[in-house]
Amino acid sequence: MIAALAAGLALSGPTVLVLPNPNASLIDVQAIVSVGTLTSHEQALAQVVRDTLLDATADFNEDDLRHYSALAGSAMRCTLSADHYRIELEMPKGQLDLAGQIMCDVLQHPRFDDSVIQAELQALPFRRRSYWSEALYSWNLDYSRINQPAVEAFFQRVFTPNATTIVISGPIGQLSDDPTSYWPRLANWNQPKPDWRKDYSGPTAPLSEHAFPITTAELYSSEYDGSDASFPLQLLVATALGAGKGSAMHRVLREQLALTYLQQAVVTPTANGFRTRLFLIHSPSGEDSSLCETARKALLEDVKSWSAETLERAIGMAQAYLLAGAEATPLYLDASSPLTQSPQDQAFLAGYWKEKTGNAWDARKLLGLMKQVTLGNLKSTAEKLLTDAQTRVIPGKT
Amino acid sequence: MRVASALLLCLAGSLVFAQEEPPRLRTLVPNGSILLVENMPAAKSVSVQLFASSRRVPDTPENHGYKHLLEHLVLKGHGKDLDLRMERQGIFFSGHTLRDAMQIVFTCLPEQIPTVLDALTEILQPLATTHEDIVKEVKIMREERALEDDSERLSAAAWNTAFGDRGMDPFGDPSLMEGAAPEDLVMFQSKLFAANNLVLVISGPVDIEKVTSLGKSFLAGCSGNCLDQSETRPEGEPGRTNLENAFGEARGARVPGIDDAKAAWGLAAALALASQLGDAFVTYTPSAQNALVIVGKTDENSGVGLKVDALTESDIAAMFPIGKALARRWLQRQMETPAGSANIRGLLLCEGASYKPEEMLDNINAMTWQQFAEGIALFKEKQADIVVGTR
Repeated sequence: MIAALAAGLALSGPTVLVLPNPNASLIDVQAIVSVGTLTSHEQALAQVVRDTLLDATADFNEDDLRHYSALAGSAMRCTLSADHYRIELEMPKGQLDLAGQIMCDVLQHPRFDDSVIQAELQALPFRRRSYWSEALYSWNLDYSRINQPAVEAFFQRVFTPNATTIVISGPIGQLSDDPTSYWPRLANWNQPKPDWRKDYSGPTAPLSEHAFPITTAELYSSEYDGSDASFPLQLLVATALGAGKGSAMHRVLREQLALTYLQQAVVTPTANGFRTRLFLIHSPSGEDSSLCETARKALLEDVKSWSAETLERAIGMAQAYLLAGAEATPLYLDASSPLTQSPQDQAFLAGYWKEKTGNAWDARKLLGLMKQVTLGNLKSTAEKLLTDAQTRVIPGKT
Repeated sequence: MRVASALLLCLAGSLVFAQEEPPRLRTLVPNGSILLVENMPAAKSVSVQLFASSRRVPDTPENHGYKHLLEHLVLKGHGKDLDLRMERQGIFFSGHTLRDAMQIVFTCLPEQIPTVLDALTEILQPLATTHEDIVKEVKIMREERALEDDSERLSAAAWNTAFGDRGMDPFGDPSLMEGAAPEDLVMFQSKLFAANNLVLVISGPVDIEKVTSLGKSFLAGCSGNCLDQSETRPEGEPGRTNLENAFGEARGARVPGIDDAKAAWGLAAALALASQLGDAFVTYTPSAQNALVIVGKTDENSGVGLKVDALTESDIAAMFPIGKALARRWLQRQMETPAGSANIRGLLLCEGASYKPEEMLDNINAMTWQQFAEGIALFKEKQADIVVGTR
């Protein structure tokens, strides 16, 4: 059982959250770096940083990082979402010092060797993502203006102490309230002066076609925030619409209309909040362009028939994924996968939610707020979401 | 002083002989089914998993896909509303069709175990379906097939290359499934769900004794005895396949069951190779039978083989500690959560009551670098099953 020790200590530097768990076998250290709103050029830079950040640092070369990762049996990794980077390192018990040295060096002194960047730029246009990743991050980025100085400058702008939350969990014993006492390198990490240079790159080009013979169609909501007033209702609507086999999307789009095998609602982060996205995924057909409207119409019709049982099922499903770790969760808050009940993902969630909303993550409280939603409110919010939803179809390669 | 010493020794002895509650209890039910209950006190939820072993009812060209189709149909429940009824109570379940078994996974809270067992009783009832239902379900399953990603297609092709008809893709043949008569499915179900093919694993924060009693009652109520001979997978052979409906490259190493240390060497080798390749996938389902460990990439369709075949002795020696650590961690991760632990333990019990993942962990820990090198050799061109996707 992870017991939160401190609410987090925000120095002028990064926020550090300490979650001792004596039952865990490994120390887990995660850095969550908020990226803010990115222009299209910056999105391309962000991808390059994600893929080259862990190549080498000032004090640790590639072999060193691979060797130290192997001590715990899992490689250090970096993922990028719409609003944050997540960098994770696991170390054996007793190696908190070494974990701090590595993580601080990654956050402050990555090497970004030109040869590594050039190799990455050559590989990127040919690198294939999964259709799911393409659907979630449906952009076509331009890497032609990227060079080593630009990568370095982007890193310096984004990876700042004030934008970073560090979560330390596992068998770490009692740690001082002052993180610099056990990780002295944090004391030398200063917030840079703001960079007022403007980036005039245009909007991000959308992906025109999947690299696979799979079409993804999406109805997506407008942005909403993570406050108690907004988030529980929106999450419950997403659950009613598309989480679990009793959801509207599964009952109507799959079982009744046999339109798709895979259909689900996900809640993903945006730069300033969250968005509900209803995905329909199927093999390409002549009806790709009308799929969203067919789905919208069918779901709106279904919402009219929602009853107390619908609300009950949605709340039951929320209980299943929030408290029992059921895999059919709509919460896709990090990269392309749903968060699990693993200690590592729960540690991430604790740090991310605090950074994103200013509040501590509390699944029971969230469920309690969801239970207060009335049927009328559920239906009207679902109707509004479906009526106002914008659409996006990425056809499959034929 | 001697008396005091003797007294201290006695006290120490009594402390040494104090028994710890075992974390899990395996029960062999007289009808041939197997029950495993595991207490994980720090877990937040319970995983209840029922396996119907394929050991006596393997996939054949004549029934290829029946298991998968059956999974789709029985999980709806008799009123086709089992999902709704369970989800209303905060219970979620799903089904998976694997080569070695059909697997039904429930996630629930400890007090909901009796409800889950009732649901399983309903699922095990003889299927009531129609040809129209079958056709409609197969239409949906064709969509499922279309959504397979490249790593899945490459892996399925590697299995086919290695084992032929004995390594059939558990997905099945949609055309064959579409032509299945309801009575054929019912007959298949009665064999697959016969009591001596069933394994029930319950893992989570549970009272072992009480939950064992519940599980025993459930399994004792299951009937049927499948008399078909259990078949073991052959050793397989190396080969090469080109695929037009996928992109990437995969190398499969044929390994024995987990009770043979070579399986651990192959797994360690695969994970070490993947760590060198960058953005690679590793596919392995622990089994007591001959199986395949696959490593591959889907963002390029050359490079995996070149990398593997060019490895020198000193490269392999440098990879050894990484492979060992990765394999150990991979297996430990499987056993850290109720769902993961129930999954791996149940799959192995499908092959026999004595199989357990700790055997593989012991083999990983005992592995020498020479043995690791043997694991790497399994992936080399002459020994491996090679698949190249050219879409």
